[in-house]
Amino acid sequence: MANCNRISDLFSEYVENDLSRDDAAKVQAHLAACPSCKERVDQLTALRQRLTGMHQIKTTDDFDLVLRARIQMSKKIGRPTLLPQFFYNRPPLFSYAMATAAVLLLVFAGSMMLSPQGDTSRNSANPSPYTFSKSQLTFPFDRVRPAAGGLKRPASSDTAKDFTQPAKTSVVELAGADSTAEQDARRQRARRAMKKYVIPVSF
Amino acid sequence: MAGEKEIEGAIPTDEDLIERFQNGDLYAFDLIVKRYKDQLLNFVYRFLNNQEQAEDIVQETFLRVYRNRHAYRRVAKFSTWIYTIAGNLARTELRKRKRRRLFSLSDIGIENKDYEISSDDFNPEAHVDTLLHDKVIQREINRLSPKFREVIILRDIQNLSYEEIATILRVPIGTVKSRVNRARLRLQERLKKLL
Repeated sequence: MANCNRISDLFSEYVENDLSRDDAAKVQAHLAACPSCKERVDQLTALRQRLTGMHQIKTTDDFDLVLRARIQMSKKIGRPTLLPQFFYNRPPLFSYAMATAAVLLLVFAGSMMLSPQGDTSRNSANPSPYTFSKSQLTFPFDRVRPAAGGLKRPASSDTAKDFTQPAKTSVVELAGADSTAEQDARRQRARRAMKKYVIPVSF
Repeated sequence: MAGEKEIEGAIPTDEDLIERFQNGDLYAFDLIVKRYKDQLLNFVYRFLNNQEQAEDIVQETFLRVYRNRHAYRRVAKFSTWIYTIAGNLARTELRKRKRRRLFSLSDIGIENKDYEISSDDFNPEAHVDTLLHDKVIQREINRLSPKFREVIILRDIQNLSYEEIATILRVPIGTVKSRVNRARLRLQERLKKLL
């Protein structure tokens, strides 16, 4: 009924006893004649009671502590500290994935730092650690030559002996002491061999 | 200075407390937190339906009160000021959530579906479990649009006056009243079996 719809605009205030006398009388007259609206108003009353009586939750015990920490933190960084919402409502496996990724990253970073390839001279030549010249990204073939043993695998019989001699076990060492034809040939061989493994970098 | 206006034994008003805090009394801030934390938590929690997020937002609200304490002027009620901050943060959160909808499994949409199926065979004669009913009501509140949701929470759960709600939401009282009415009718329609 169109009349029901119009009068229902007043129901809420009627339930709260917030209507003028005239309007309240209008609603009462309608309710007396319309059982469905009467039921509706009764339900609205019940709904209001239910909503008012809904259980109240309490803040967790560490609320004040965390708040204090956040205030301290915001003093330091000078801005609010609301966590990005990315951290909430994530799928259950997400945190495990993130943890695994973090551990892998740490292991990777650690191994990079511990590896003996860290070349400090590079930094002095190039003040920014993020810019490299092309020559620094390609293998410096002209500066290295194979060690005395070359790239050939030592014969199985003297493997043990070879490993006890550090000079022979290193694959490359800085050139410059002497450059005979034999060493040039060796360098060529080494270059060919290394090409298999070194991916050329170009920009 | 601090506490000057206080009569011995009288409970300081919110406005007194924030004034004391503005004058450097940190204990007054603690009292404000104590007074409002649960109230605001319930407001934001009903709005977002996520306690962890709600707590985060309430903390952020207090943090903003702390940082912007001098922005408060006594002409306004302190309660409406702090509710406005919390409400704005909660609404921002809701918008962010909408954008993230694709990634979130526990989003409202899924829960709605879940409820709609079970509501058909809901038996009002069954053992009355208030908490369960609260949950059902909460879900229905969350199905309302944010505009309706905030007025129904502020009016019926938090028992704020229409004037206060109008100030918090910065809309005319008439608008608040009509929103409350429509929100109630919608909830009544959907919760018929429970009422």
